[in-house]
This record gives sequence, C-alpha cells and structure tokens, in this order.
Amino acid sequence: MSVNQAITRKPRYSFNLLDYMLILVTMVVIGWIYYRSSIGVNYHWNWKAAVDLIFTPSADGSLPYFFQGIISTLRLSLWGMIFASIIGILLGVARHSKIALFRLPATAYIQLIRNIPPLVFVFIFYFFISNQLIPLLGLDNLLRNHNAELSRLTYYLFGRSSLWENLLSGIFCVSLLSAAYIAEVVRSGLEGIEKGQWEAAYSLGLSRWSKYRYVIAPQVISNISPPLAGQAISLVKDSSIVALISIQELTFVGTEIANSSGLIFEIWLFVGLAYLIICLGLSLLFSKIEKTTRKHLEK
Amino acid sequence: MKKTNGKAIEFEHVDKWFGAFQALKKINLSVEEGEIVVICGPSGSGKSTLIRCINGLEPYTSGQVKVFDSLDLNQQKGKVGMVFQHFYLFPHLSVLENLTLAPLRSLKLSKQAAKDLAMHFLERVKIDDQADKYPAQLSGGQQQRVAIARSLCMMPRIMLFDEPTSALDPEMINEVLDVMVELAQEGMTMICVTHEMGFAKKVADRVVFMDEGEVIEIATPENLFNSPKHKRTKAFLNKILAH
Ligand SMILES: Nc1ncnc2c1ncn2[C@@H]1O[C@H](COP(=O)(O)OP(=O)(O)O)[C@@H](O)[C@H]1O
Ligand SMILES: [Mg+2]
Repeated sequence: MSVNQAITRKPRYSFNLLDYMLILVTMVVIGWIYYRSSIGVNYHWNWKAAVDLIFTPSADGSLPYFFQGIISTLRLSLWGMIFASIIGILLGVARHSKIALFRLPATAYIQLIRNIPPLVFVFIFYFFISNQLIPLLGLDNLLRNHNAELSRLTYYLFGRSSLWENLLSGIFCVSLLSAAYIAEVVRSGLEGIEKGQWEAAYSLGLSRWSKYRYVIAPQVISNISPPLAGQAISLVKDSSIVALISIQELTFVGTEIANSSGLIFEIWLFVGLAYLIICLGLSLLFSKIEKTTRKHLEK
Repeated sequence: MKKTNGKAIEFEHVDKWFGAFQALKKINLSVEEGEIVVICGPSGSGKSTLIRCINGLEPYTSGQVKVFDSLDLNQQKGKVGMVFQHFYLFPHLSVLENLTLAPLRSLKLSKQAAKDLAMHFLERVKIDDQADKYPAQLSGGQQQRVAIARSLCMMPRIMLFDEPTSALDPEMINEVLDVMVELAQEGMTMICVTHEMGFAKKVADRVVFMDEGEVIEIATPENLFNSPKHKRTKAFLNKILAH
C-alpha cells in the first residue's frame, strides 16, 4: 500500500454516504412491512410477552427453554462438525484413491447424498437407521440407562442423559449429510495439489504417512479452509432440519414456543436472530484462523 | 580419474508404454559410480521418462532397471535424489523445514542433527542466510539451490536432474550450474537432463542423445557436439545452436 493511501485511509468501521443511504432504505422497508403487517395482516405485535417468554427459566429452575435450544444447536453443530470432518476426510481421500474398492463406494455415497433432498434423507435416516440400527446395536439401552451424576463439562458437551439417544441420532444425521459435501471439498483440495509435490515427497523417501501428514495435508487444509468454513456454517443452518425428527434443538424449541404462545412472528424472528449471531460469529472466527494459517503465502 | 567403482545404474532392454504410446524403446544404458551423464534430445523424446524410471517414479513396462545391483527401486528412495524443473519445494514450510523434513521423518535424526545437516548443505549452496524464509520469498535460482540442498540432506548416492535450469531466468542459470559443477567434482554420480552445453563440456563424461524414445548416440561431449555420427543428432544440434 502506498504511503498516500495509508494516510488517507479511513478507520475501518466508519460509514460512508452509501452505507447511510442503504441503512435508511432498509429501515424504511422494515418500517413499511411492520406497518403493513400491523394493519393489513391484522397481526398484533407483542414483543414484551415474547421477550418475557424467551427469558423465563424452565419449571425446574434451569436455563430458559429457548436457550436450551440454542445450546442444543451448538452442541449438535460441534459434534456434527467433528464427525462430519472425520467422515468427510475419509470419504474425500477414498474418492481420490486409485483403488476402486475405496473409490467406488465413496463416490456412490457422495452422489447419493448430493442428489436427494436433505429432507428425504432425514426421513430415510430416521426410520431405517435411527429406529432400527441403534436398537440393533444395543445402544439405546446403554444410552437410556445411564443414570450416573453428570459433571458440568459432560452436561454442556452432551446434555441430559435422557436425551442422549436423541442427540446421537441428530449428530449422525447432520454429519452424514455434511460429510458428503466436505468429502467433495477435500477431494478437490487433494486434486489441487501439484503432482510435483507428491513426486518430490516420494523422491525424498518419505513414507506414505509422512507424505500425507507433513506435505499434503497442511497444503490441502490451507487451500480448503475457506470452503470448509462455509460448510461449517451451512451445517449449523442445516441442523435445523433435524427438528423434524424431534431432535430438541433451536428450531424444534422455536416451533414449540411459537405454537404454544401464538407469538409466531416474534419467536421466529428471535430464532432467526440466534442463527444469524451463531453463523456470523463462526465466520468471524474462521476468517481470523484463515489469516494466521496463510502466512506462508505472503511475499 | 574417479571411476571404476562399479555400476550405479543399469538399463537392460527397457520399454515404457503409456497406453498405446511407446515412450521408451529398448533402452540399454549403464552408468558407473561417480560418472556424470548428460541426456539431451528434443522435447517429448522420453528424457524425463527415462530418468524417472531410475527412482521408480515411473514404472517401466518391460526390461530391467538396476540401481546398485538392486531391482527394488523403492528401497532406493532418498538414496537417489531428484531435482525437478519446477523445484517443487514445499510452500508451507520454511527453507530450513524443507531440508529437515526427510532427515527427521525418514532417517529419524534428532532435531539438532537434522538442523546441523541442513545448515551444512545450505552453506554449500550459499543460501544459509535465507534459512527462515518461505520458498515464495526466494528467487527461482535460490529455490532451485534449496531444492538441490534438500535432496543432498538424504545423503543420496545418485543425483538425477530433470532440466534444472529450464524454468529459470537467464541470469540465474549459472548460480545453479555452479552448484552442480561442484557436486560433480566431488564425485557424485549424476544424470542430468539439460541442454546447457557449457555444463556438459565442463563435467560430463558422456552425453546421451535421445529421440522418439530411443537412445540414438552416446559419446564424450567433444565427440557428440563436434562430430556427431547420427544425422538426427546433427539436426538437433543445428537447431539448438542456431539461436
Ligand atoms: N503420464 C503420461 N501419460 C501419457 N503420456 C505421457 C506421460 N508422460 C509422458 N508421456 C509422453 O511420453 C513422451 C515422452 O515424454 P517425456 O519423457 O516427458 O519427454 P521429454 O522429457 O524428453 O520432453 C511424450 O510424448 C509424452 O507426451
Ligand atoms: Mg522432460
């Protein structure tokens, strides 16, 4: 950057005229919709009741139901991201493999997931895998009958033990969906590495593991971190779909509160806001991480 | 002089097919330990394919390639160093880390030993002051010298060079060739694919001319450049000397 630009550059968060105009236009539009909806749709806004409802602690004195939903979504997303990454990386590497035994099943799975609506997958998943497979493995008894006192950390990471089976289905479902997309990102990342990098690693006598671990993986990760961050954010949003199979996350909780109170608009706007804050927070976090991992590319 | 220590590399009737295309035709070539062999020939004549058969980067279709009397080319990894036209340094690692990676992971040296080794070779290619930079911060000539040092860290007994100066700006070619000449004078066994005639005349024991997947002519540099026997060799030399 030239000295001139550095001096005249404005502080980062100052608004210019265009920003102000856009804000004004946005506010007018919102005001108009609000006005129209209060007369045209005959909807009575009741923000105070909505806010009260959201912040009222549960009957047993624990966290308000709405916030339990938020935490549940965060929990689902966290574990979902971890499992989706593991499955996605394995699938992506298999898809890139020269060995057909690995490549073909991975390809089939990825194509299947990417070409059926997520909703359909959720139902198939629920009736076949969740209803049949978990009992088959005997996991349901194990999960349901765990009665020991939970430590605080365990509680935040996994929630109440009575809902573990529920949580597990949700995590499986979300991560199996997301893994197919992550796999494609991983594969394209692997394909983006020059052949010469593999050959140089080979010529130096590096083992297969060292080659992946120290040469290929760091480059792939740095190349795919932007699409991967996007995928993580999608996962948070897409996790709302498991509300349909009664996983008690933010959307499910939102539905319940909205329907029982009749404060449809207010509650759904709050739900939207909560997702917005989580996703924006994540994207800020990822752009910070990206800046630090791409240092070597600076001249 | 330095030779007659035994055979380093032996090609016997080596054929290489890419699908229906034959890239190497009945190659016979043997290289003594300590020998410097330069390979030249038109683009697409199979030079890269030939030297890639030596370290197993390219599996050959039939015939035999022996390196130090062994057919198992995988065992030779690291013992046969390779330098590429486009360097292929690891961009996410510093210069020093590029050099220490293989000694740490393959030779299982200690951190200190690997670092000492790396610094020793960086000094030899006169680039020790750039040890903490990343490859993207270096010039092409510097990157190629780092790549050579990186191979040397594995203590190879043979060095393969595939057009090491073709991607460089003219003013950087000599700094790389100087390193190669020094290496040659120390007795390293070297196979170099290059069109640098000055280099060939200075250090090569033999020059191999290839065309269309065949070895056409093998001779000392003086004989091959001054009195080529084969007309395809003549035609090629005329072309590269024309400008
Ligand atoms: N992986 C490959 N698949 C198909 N053909 C190849 C491959 N590698 C090289 N070839 C062909 O083999 C011939 C020799 O290539 P190469 O050894 O790279 O030649 P040179 O290094 O002399 O320019 C060329 O015609 C090239 O197109
Ligand atoms: Mg070539």
